[in-house]
Amino acid sequence: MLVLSRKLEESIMIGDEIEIKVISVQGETVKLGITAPRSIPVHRKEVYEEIERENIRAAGTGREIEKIDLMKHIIKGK
Amino acid sequence: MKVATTRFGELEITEEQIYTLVTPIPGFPATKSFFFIQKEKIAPFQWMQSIEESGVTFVVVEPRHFFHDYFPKIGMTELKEIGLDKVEESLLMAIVVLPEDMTKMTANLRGPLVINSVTRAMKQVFIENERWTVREFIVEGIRRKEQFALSEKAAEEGKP
Repeated sequence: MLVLSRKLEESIMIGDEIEIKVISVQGETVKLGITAPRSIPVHRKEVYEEIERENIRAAGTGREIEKIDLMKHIIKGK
Repeated sequence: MKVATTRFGELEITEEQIYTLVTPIPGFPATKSFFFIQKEKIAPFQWMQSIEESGVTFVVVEPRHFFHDYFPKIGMTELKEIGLDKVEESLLMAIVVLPEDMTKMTANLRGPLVINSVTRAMKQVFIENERWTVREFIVEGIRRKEQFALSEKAAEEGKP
């Protein structure tokens, strides 16, 4: 992993089109500004991880779905 | 073609039933092709069965069936990846988790599957909007939908 030190308002470039700039630093929070072409999706890593966890969790449930009167169960929960 | 599944045994499907992920969904790197199984008994839910991995089966549902105001912002890039220009042309599916207590059933509205129903290309997208989470209670969606319907009705009756 390449490790770089940056000060406030300083940037790094990834290739010619992606710029990541340090906007502010407050305590433990660093605010970053990202400029990238629209063709490059930018996501916080935890969103990806959260979806990954939920996918894995989902694949392990619902085995007995057909044995249960779904709508009755859902409506009962109101 | 014949597909082996852990849950349903061996099933016969046609090429036209196969939906292909343009990128695998997080957590399941080895599976790209799925088919949907619809049964009246579980409607409006469906199963989404992996072709490559016999043991991978999801329960899915069209999210607006329960969440009437679910209109997530989906990026142009992601739509393009599945060959679409407009979000209106896409079909959305949310992956459902069914815990022991069925009233706590949730839908993942932060990571919906966006589907091109003509080419059957699909992708799980990430919604960078705090409003929709990976665990939205379906019961809660139904409650809000009913409230909305009631307020619409009241507004209608209030008209001269």
